[in-house]
Amino acid sequence: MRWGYLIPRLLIAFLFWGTFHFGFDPVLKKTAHFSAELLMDSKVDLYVLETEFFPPEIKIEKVAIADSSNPGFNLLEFDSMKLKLEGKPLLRRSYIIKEASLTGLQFGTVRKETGPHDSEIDFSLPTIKVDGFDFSFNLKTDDWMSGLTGRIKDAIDPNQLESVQLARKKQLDWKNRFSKQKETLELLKKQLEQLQSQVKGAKGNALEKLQVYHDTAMNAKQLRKEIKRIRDELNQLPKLARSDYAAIIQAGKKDQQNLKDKTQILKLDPKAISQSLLGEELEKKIQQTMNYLSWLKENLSDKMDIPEPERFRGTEIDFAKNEALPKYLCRKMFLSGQSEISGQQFEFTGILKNLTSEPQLHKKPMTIEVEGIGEDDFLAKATIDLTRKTPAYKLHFQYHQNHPPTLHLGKGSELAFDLSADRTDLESLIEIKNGKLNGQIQLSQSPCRIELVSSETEDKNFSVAQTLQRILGKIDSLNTQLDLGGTLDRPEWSVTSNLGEYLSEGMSDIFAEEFEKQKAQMAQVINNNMIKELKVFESLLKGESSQLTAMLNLQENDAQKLIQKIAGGKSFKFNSLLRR
Amino acid sequence: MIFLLRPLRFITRTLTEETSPRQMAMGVALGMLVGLVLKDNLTAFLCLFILCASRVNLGLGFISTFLFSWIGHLVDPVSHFIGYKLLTAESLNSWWTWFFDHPVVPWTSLNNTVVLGSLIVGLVLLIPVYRSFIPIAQKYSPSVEKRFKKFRIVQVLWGLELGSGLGEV
Repeated sequence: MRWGYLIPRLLIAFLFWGTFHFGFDPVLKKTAHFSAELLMDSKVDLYVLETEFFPPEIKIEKVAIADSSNPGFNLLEFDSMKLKLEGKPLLRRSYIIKEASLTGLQFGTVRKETGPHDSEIDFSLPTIKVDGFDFSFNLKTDDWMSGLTGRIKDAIDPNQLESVQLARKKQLDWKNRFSKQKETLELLKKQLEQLQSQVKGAKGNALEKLQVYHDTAMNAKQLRKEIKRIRDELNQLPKLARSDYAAIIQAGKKDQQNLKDKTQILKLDPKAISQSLLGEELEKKIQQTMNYLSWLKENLSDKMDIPEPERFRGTEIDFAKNEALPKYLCRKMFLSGQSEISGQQFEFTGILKNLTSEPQLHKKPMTIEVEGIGEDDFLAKATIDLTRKTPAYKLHFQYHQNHPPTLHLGKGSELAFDLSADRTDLESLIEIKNGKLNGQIQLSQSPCRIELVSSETEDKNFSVAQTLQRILGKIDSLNTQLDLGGTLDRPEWSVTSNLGEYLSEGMSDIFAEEFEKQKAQMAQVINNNMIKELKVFESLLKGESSQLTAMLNLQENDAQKLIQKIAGGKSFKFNSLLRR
Repeated sequence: MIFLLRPLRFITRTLTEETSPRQMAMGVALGMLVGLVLKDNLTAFLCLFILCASRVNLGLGFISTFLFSWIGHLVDPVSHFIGYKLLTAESLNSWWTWFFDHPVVPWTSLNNTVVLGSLIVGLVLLIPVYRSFIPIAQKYSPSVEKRFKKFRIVQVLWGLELGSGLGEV
């Protein structure tokens, strides 16, 4: 055996092995540390990284990622992460983690070390502007009362009364009708005068004059006929007037009936009340939910689709494989750690499945399910489906809180309530599909107590405050439903709650009570208005019709005289005819 | 002391042994092959393994590797062109598909145009480089050996080992 050849080469092989065995982990740790800082754009502490080749395993311990938005604190920290890789896919250069565990996961812990990256990068959740509804719905009780008066005034506005409107219309019709008759009479008068002047000014021989008289007599007869027709029309008018009068009376009765129905019009919109009372509180929750969804989208789904780094040298040509596998895949990862919601500490456990760099190849959506156990408890399930061209997201969240802090609804200077409950249940189910947001958030608080806290209300409208307190006393549970729509960037939402329904009913009762007090008075006003209009109508009829009749009589008289004059031959001299 | 120095002497011997012109020329040629191929893959590792396992002058081999690693950048356009033509050739497609569907093969990175191209360039140049370096080695190897053995560190290593050996006797 040639030891001189073998030993030096074995030594070199041993050096290679030694470098690989003792140097691989530190080199990998250094690379992982560098890559993590590059990926997270923040300072990352990584204390232990160990690898095993048979079976392939990676163990990482004591990792802390600095939170740039909160210097001195970590964004997250975990005690250990174990990754068990599948051997066969590794031979094909696919990193398939068949099982992983992440323990001691905590968020927002105090950093043991600080670094230059701590305050450089903004790691806060992305903020989406939620275009909510207008919260300016007025809740001041004074304004409610003045609003009530306004509504009642509107209800009995004379100009809005049907009887008044009809009477005015009829007055106008009659005025037009009379003016038309007057015009006709004026025309007749002119024609009559013309005939009279024709008779007076008749010239020529007797035959010619006879012809003139004959024509005049015929025209005068025609005039009389016209006058007779107008008289007949005038005789019909009282009947028509009586019918119009009856119509106005009927409209007046209808106005009275409408007044009774106005109570319904005065009902407040329960949705608007719910939105104004609960909107601000719920807007925060929506904002938070949208931020989480956006964070999920940007940090989990968008980063899954990591573009291949442009190789410094060469281009990789991909060939079809019989057993196509994604380059990176974590089949399942068990999670455990601690978290905090609304100041409450939770121990949580969870499982993350199908986290991959190529979801379209893996054809299974990524899911994450986390359950929190503590004084309060929660369950969160998220599904991110990137297996198709258009991604779909689904978030289901349940949260139960015992003895939640008192909620302050409304505004201090206006109508405001304190809501305290023994238990809060929050459940939200939100989906994003084809870019459209769709979901519901249900908030239930029971048993609950709602107390009116606005002192202004109590001072100025004691009866209103008392009534409201009585209404609120009936409410033993608050159920609120929030419907979401629109898009993730521009969510649209509406709120419904039993609080709004209760308050609407209660306030409507107050309005109805006030309305009843004023109703009799208002009925009298309606009646007076109608009577006033009727009197105007009557006087118009009387005045105009008598004037017309007088004109008619005069003209008829003149026409009669003219005819008699012609027929009596006073102006026709037969002697002059014979003389010629 | 001898126990500590022996490995160092072995390395020195390994680097200075196999000093025939052919072994030196083959060391340079194989070093050139290792140097041209990109390093982050199994292909480069196999080439390095062949270099180390062969009875060639490793010292010249490593020097050649170092030099051709830099030269390789200049050859990249040619390597890329050759690799691209071969990998995208219609007639070879089914063969490449079959080849890359085997385990371990993806680690060779032979689907990278520069890796495949530089390997082809290296293999093509292997014999010409080997043949052209033989006359040079023949001319300069005696003087190089003499000069090398004049290095103080080499003398110390040889002397110390000899001294320790005599002391043990």
